Amino acid sequence: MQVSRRVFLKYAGALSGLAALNKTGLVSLKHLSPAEAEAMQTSMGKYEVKYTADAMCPAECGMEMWVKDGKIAKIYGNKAVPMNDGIACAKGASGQQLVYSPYRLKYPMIRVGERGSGKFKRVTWDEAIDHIGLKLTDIKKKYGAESVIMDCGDVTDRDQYYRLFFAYGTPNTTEHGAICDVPRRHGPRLMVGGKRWEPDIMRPQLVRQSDGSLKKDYTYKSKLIVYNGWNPFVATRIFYENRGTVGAKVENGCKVVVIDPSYSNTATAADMWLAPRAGTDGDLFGAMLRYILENDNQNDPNKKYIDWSFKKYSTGWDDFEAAFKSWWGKKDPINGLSYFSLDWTADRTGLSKAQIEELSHLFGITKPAALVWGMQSPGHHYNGYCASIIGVALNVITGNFDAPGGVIDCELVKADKGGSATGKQFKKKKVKRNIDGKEVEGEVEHLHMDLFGSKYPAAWDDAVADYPNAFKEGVDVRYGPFRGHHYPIKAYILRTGNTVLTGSAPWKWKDAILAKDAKGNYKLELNVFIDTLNLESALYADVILPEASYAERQSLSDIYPSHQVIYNRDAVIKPLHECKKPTDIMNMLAKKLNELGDSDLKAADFWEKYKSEEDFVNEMLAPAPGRVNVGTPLPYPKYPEGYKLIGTPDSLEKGEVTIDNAKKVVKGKSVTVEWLRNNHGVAIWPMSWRRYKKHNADEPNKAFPNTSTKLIEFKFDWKDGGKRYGGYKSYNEKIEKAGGEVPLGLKEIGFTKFPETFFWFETKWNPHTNPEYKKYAKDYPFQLICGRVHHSMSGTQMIPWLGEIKTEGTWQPMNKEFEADVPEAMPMGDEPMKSMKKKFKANTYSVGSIWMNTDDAKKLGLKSGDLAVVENPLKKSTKGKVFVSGGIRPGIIKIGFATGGRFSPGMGPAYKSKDYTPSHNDLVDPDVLSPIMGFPGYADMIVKVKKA
Amino acid sequence: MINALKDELSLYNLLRQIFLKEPSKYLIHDMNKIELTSGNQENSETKGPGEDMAGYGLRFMVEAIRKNENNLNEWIEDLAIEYARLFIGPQNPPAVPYASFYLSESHSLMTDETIDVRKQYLEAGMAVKELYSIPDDHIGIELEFIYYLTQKTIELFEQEQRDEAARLFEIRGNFLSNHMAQWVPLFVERILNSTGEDFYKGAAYMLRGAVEL
Repeated sequence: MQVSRRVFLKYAGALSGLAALNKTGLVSLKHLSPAEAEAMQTSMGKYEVKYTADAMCPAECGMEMWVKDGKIAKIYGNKAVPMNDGIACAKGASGQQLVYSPYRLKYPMIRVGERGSGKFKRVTWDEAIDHIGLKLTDIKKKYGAESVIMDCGDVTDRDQYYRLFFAYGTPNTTEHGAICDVPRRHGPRLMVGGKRWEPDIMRPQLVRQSDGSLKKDYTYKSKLIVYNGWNPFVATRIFYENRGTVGAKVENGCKVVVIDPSYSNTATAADMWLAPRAGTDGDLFGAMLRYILENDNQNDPNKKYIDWSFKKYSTGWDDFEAAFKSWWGKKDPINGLSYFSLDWTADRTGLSKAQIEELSHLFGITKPAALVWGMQSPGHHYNGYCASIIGVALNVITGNFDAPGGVIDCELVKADKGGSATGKQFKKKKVKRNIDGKEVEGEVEHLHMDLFGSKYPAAWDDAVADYPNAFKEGVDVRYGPFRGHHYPIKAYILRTGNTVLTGSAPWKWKDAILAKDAKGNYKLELNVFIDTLNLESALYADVILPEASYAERQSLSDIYPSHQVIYNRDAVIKPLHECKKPTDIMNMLAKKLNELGDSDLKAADFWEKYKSEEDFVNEMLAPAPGRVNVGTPLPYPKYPEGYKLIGTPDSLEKGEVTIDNAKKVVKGKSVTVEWLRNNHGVAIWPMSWRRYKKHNADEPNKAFPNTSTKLIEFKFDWKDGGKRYGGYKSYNEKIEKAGGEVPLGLKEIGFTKFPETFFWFETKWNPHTNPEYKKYAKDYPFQLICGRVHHSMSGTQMIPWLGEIKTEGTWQPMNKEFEADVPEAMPMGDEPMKSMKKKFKANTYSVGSIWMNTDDAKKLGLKSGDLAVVENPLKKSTKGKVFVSGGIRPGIIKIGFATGGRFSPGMGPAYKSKDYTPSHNDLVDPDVLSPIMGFPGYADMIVKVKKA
Repeated sequence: MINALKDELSLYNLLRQIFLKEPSKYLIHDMNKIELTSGNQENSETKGPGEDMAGYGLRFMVEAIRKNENNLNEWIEDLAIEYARLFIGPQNPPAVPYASFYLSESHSLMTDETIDVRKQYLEAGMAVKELYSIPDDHIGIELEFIYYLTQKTIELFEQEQRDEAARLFEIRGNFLSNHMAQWVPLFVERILNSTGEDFYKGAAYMLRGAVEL
């Protein structure tokens, strides 16, 4: 044995005298006993298969992950899950790049510089939880628990945070839906109590056969799908729409119409692409409805548009129709034409009368058909509510709602989950507040900043884009028992979201988070960021908590199937680094608050109740599937129609149930995590259609949909036989009890209460439809819209193989030449590996781009790759390279959502291109919050473009 | 030879402490007691690392401590912030402290290269305490492994168990030259290119010297 050393250590002697080096214990390594070593040796290299749910994008497909040596070795799609039927797309397959990214969050950190300076130090979990616990305790004492907002952000698995903060005493919890597509969901929620209307193209479906057996059915029935402002080939929230759209076309001759100002990826599969002006969705839908009503002829097979049987299953149509028709007699101030006429619609949308007529006829006459409207549009327009309501009406009166091959409200038919685990019961707790010297009692939920606040009392999805105002000015409660109560917002806890960048305009968010009081303290006293990834919002956080990634925590898929399907998100591997699972974070914080004297957080509700995350998820699963036995074919012919079904598919199938006739519930064995693990991770209950109708009679079953009358409602607030009904009823009652005080949102559009049936108002910043903005048309000739590039959004930006791939005109290989350190290929022999600088040539790597029409670009002297400045009338601007093509309507500019201007390192390549990539959000008007529910008008803006 | 190993033991012991976590007050105050020998009074910046890279690094660190002698506690806080910025984040840490980042094609963590490191630990009867959570090839853990092997070799040698001592010594040599020497220079270069803090520059030099001994 020889020690060969080139130089003897000169300081070795000095070192050996250090007391610090007397600590000789091992910190990170441990000795294994011979038995342990052998066990580890033999287990190495073996695969274990786990069934889980993806979260690389909101589609949350069913996945199969193969684990070897404690790490994810292979990722496949789970063939047992009908959402994706075994497919794993490039995003799903890139999961390891996120989980094993060197740049993910690893340790709890506390800010040491000013907010935004990016200076943090590592702390222990105990220190971080201490810090948060002390602040929360202090805030609750000084201002009340309602001064804390818990924003559960983007992805799924949020129930633990809801539970914790409901118990703490704040009703102000929210999630990403609030800044996703609220106006789009409005019509379904109001009229059927649902949310998302999607075409019936999820395949396979599990269908009861006439012989009583269950069969996986792959048959497509759709004949027409109209996608308006919806681009499922790129924005894949509803993953089966990718393959289902193509499947229905190829296997069933289904026609596809795409209505989008840009030639989207989905438009490439369309038989008809219509490119209207932005923000005219409601105009076009209104024209379709008027055309169908005016031209329907039940005696002419070529004009038999309406299936009048819908009247049996609905209420209020006559009022709705009358209110709609009342607009026909009015002249639109912008063009002097009759509302919803072909001429009017052509003038406003920029489509030809012939196109509008053709679309209206095609939709009226083709059955089954589905009219689907999207996230970007009308979801992102101030008046998207109107489009969404007319969209529901169009599908219903043509007989397509819940028809085989028609359109399905996925919210109404997906499996129920969450139950008491979510902790909604804590919101019923009685609390007292002192208002103008008087003690008033109410429930925790009556303190909700939106539902009882002065602005948007119908904001059932929360008005997240209004938070910056709340941070600075606080909340005025104007409705309910706490009317007159004012409170500040003192803490904002953001989990898996990036509101600073995307919650409306980033400058508004930064301004609010950085605002200080007269003493120089931040008005928002606590700002916490919880995530697996480092995003822009983390820069402004006081505390960062690293959360276990989607592969490291246990929960359930959050999906929109066409019947009840639920699958496990299994904890495939152990949490990496010091990341913790939501259940552990919940328990740690609850315990800390309890130790600090907060008796609202009890051991029996938290750390003693949930010993593991599996305990929590089992409670979430308890109500599943929780839907009624309705539709044709009846899912369970052996059980009474209209009864709620609870329990595993096999227990319901075998009849291992108890039937409660009083409550109308059939209860089998509860679905559990263990049951799911033993069944390929997934539970599937049978599909049925026309679920609003008795299976053997042409009359409503009064068990579906989920409205005040259990009928489809075309009226939103009415009285009948001394009782009051409708989706707006409770909000109008609030206004009445408050002496008729009109909330801010409604005031903006000149309403004094929530409408009783059909209503209409114009969108903002649209000079083609709203006379208020006509004056800007000359100087700001372009409408600005945005669209998703799902594979390059916050959660996937850091994955090179996704980022490189171009998408439509908004994500193009237009990088500047850049240099990066790259290790050389593995050297031979004993030579150490060297790093080398590698040049990435210009235009080889995709970055966010500004999409514009060829003719427009020519007039401005711009060509693809030129740097341009886009400026709005508020004098806010952004810079980026233009992508010029014929595939976009002249007069429209499109920028990807959150693709450019990514100002925080930690985002991989996106940060490097921040100076020449556009930020759409910088151009959003943060004061345009749609009047019913306070949703940002992301796509309501006009701009001018000039060469930089 | 055993004396030489004993010297190295202190070196790896110090390095593992520096790279596993932010320096404690105890460690810095202790290091402040190191006396620089008269032959090396010149400022280290004017004198290149020469052949004794480890010694040079140590001098760099001690000089940095001396410079901040009057505000040590504040400076220790600065070191913690710099440690986080360099090695942890939250924003892209410039010197990712895991071998697989440098050695794998994917530049990610927990790669096959990490599992190879795990196998070498196993060969010496060792494993990471937080197995499957903390990547086995963190620089601090690898240094602890060398530190452990050095200590164990000495112990076995002194107990006359020469075969086992030789076996561990061989694992140590292979791990240093076939594994650590492949990536540590790249890691060191990143530290040197991205820190303005002399303490971590010194630590980087010392690390490089220790791996190339």
